[in-house]
Amino acid sequence: MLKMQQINKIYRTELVETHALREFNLSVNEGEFVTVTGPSGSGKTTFLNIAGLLEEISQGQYFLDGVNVVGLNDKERSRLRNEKIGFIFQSFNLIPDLNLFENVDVPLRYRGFNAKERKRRIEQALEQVGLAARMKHLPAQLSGGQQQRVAIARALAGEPKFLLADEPTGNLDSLMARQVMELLKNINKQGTTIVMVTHDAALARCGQRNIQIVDGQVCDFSLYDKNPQASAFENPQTAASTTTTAASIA
Amino acid sequence: MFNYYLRLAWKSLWATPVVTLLMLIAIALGIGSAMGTLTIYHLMSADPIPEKSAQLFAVQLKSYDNKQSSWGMNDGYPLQITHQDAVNLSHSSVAVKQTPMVRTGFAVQTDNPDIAPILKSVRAANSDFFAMFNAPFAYGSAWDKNSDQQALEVTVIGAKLNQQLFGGGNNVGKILYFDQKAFRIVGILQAWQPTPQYYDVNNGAFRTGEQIFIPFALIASNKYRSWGNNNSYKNEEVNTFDEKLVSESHWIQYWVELKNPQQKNAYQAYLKNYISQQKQLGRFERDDASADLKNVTTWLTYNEVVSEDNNVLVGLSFLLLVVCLVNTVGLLLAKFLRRAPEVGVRRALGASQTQVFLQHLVEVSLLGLTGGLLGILLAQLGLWLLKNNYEQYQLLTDMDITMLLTAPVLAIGSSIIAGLYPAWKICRTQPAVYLKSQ
Amino acid sequence: MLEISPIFNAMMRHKSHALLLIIQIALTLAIVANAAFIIENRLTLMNRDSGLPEAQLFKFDVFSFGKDIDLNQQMELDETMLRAIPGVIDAVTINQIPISGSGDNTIFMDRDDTPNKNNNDKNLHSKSNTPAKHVHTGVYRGDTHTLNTLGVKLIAGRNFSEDEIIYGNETQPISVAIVSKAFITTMFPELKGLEQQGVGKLIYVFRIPIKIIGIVDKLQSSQVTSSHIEQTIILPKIQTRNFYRFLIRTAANQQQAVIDKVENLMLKLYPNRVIRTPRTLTYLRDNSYADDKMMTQLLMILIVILFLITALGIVGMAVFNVNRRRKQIGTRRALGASKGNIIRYFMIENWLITNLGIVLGIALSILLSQFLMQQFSLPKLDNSYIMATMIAIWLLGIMAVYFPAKKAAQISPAIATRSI
Repeated sequence: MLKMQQINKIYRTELVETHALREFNLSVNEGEFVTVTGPSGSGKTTFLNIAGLLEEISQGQYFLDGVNVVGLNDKERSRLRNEKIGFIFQSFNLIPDLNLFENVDVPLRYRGFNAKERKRRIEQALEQVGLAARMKHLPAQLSGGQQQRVAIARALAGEPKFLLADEPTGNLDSLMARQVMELLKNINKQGTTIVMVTHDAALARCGQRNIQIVDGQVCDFSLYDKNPQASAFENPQTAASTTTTAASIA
Repeated sequence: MFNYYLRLAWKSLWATPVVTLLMLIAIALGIGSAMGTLTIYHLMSADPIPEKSAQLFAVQLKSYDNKQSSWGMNDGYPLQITHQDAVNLSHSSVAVKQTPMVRTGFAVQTDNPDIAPILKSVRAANSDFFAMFNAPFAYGSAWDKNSDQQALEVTVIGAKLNQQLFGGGNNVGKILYFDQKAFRIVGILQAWQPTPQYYDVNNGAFRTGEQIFIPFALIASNKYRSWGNNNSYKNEEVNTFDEKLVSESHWIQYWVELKNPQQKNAYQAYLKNYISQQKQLGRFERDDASADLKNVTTWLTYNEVVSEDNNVLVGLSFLLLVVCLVNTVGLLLAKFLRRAPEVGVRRALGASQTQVFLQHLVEVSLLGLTGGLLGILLAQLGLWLLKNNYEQYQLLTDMDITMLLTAPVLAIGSSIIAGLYPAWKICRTQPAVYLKSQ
Repeated sequence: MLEISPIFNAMMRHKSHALLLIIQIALTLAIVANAAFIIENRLTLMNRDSGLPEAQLFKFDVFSFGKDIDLNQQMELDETMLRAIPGVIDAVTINQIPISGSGDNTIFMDRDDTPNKNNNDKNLHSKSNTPAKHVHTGVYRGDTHTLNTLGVKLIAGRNFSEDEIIYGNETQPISVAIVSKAFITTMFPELKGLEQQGVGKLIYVFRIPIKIIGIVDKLQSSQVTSSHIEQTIILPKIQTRNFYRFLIRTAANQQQAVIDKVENLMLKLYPNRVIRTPRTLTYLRDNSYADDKMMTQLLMILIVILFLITALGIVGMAVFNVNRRRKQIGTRRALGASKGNIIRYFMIENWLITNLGIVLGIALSILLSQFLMQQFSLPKLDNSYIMATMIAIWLLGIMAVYFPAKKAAQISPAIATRSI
């Protein structure tokens, strides 16, 4: 699904060169739920921006769903982003002037669907996150958890193969965070690949695999890596421990 | 997609009503003043008779003596000619149509004793006048050549006077009394007011024209005085009207219609010949005595019908428009950049730079169109005030179709120019920066 | 003033905003300075003294179409009747009205240089020593009441005597005249400052010598756009025409009452004529200067709009900067900056921008002025207009930025500790 090879990302200013990512390698398979952790300034955000085609890479290769994205122009990258990637942000990033329906509508507009198709997808996506009844509400009228669910609906409406989540529960209280994680888990079960960036070690265990980025490089020490089928949710231990793990998310 | 952009633009403009209002005011004031002054300029510089402005010529004669280094206008030609030259020229048949002209006036009475005599300005001309200047007849026609030659007391009146004296209708054949002399109405014009009134700019190109026309020959026979300019270079004593008729006083306008360059050449040759004839009679004593023909558009420029003030005003109000646009660029830039986080989200969700750029251009165009429409209203208001407060602009009616079409084009065009930089700037922002919560 | 350098650096980080405002201020300065200069020129023109008690004067035209009267006699009767109306100080039949826009002009000369009519030898003419001086002169024709009706002061010499007036078709040539002081200085430059000595001098028109018998301090001619407006002459002649006009001087508060009566009285005296609407000199002045008045009014509107737009621009920029820096301002406040410090920060920032705009604006003003001078007959822009506009823009800038800056100072230091 996602394959990064020997990626370098260098930020240049007049005075300094910063290697945000150096010789960065990562593969994510279709249907995986991968969590990415690392200390502040390690390159997590850069990785996310590159994975989400928001920034270009300085060197290396990046294949997204089999497409080599190096050298694509802005229009092609935007198209790819629109069709294959769904974003979920820590601060939800709903557009405050638009109601829920219109917010979910945004990526569909850029996809170029007709009105009927858009309506169908928006209703379906909001249904999926349990907010179909509040379509005409503005984001400010919702709680944080509800807003994040709208953001997820917006990410899902385009039926992307790949969800990129950036601290999706960072601004939420524990109960809401749990709901959101459950939702993501379900989405993953239905086949959507998820990459989630977090600094929370407990959350990191929610994925099937955890990647740690240190100084712009993948620090591949995760035990889960050797057992890709294992995850915090599908731990072969007891059902009770699943509950504990879920609670520890908070 | 355009509809979507339009909806977003609408929402965005309403989202920040104060900034939107400020920008609208700036654009409206800029467009309003530019369009107002441009309209005046456009109407003043309009070709009043486009279908034949290249075929109608004002005749000028460099008739003065050697004592003056130059006399008349800057090019050394006086605006008008003498009565004797006018009479002589009208005897020739080289020009297709021709007319001497002078503005005069008298007291007008009807058979109706209830109507007090009214003082009216009058245009004395030959019968060709009406056909030359495309004056449209509602009833009757121009007088015949015989009336020109015999100085018969016949008249053509305008629609406005017909309304004033008779309440309208066909009054051909009725008698009017001009200074107590009976004149028979032979024709009544439709409403007709060339703007600018090019055939006589001496008395103001934008004042209403005469409503009474009489044969030119009556000037001499009835001793009608000129109500226009009289200029003389010569120290000669003119005490009686008959002395004036044969004097070197310049007070007659002369126009000819020449359909093509051949006719123009022939007429120029005729004038050259005329001048050498006159030289033998002791007139036109200058070595550079010559004639000049100026067509309608040249004539209007030559007479500076569009005043210098108008040009200065057009220039300054376009500079004002630039200031308003610079102001708008600043406000748009601030507004758009504050929206960068939203744009970041849109970019993340798949909007390309082009789409973001177009979205903002649509917003700017909507703003420009609204501002432009307000500007047209302002310009109309300004023109209305001008017309009602300044006599010299009474003929400047409303904006014509050209101006009404120019205004929105100017408004949207200049707004788009103002919006290009902010829209470009916003579409180039790195979306990633705005997606993090800080 | 140590603050200037960090403020300047911060400004340079948002170059485009600062630059736009600088351009706007510069253009405003250039346009306003030039427009104000044009306005001032026109006002000077409009406020020239005509030398007349304008509020006391009005005129009307008479057009007689009846053929059954002796016009000479009728004019005398009219005058006598008009002068007898209560409130009328004096009345005269006159050929043209000062500053009315239409009238007679003739060239007068200081000697007779017309070649002998019988002599066609051009050489003879060119041999005559210096050419005669030609003076364009506005010509008034009237009787002994002319001076009193116009209300102008004789500074030397005397008024016409009754026997000097030439009526109607009397053919004797005019031999005496009263002229304006400006006429003397133009015709006889050597008498500048000694204009009174012009009395007794001879001037020529149509080869006729005319003696100057009186000089009035000031009398403008009818053409306000003419450069010869101050050079006027009064000739002792009443022309007989069926179209003539009266100038009437009344006590200022009686004017309207007299105007209301005049048409009826005139028609009662003789009906076969048309009396044109009487016009006051104030009306005629407004009409003659209508173009100038319009120009000044339109340019004033232009200046107001420009100041308004530029003030909006400064306010907009300041509000934008305040909002953008809310957090920074909070942090500064938390670190001990006083409200005054914050206000000063924005005032200095705006002051810097205004000054840059003004520097650029001075250059633009001069360029625009040169362009206007080349394209149109406008005089050179006086530097004092640039100075005055500069000060106006400076004050405008300070006022426009004060309120946003004050609002910035209200930002709570607590904002620094909040995220977002």
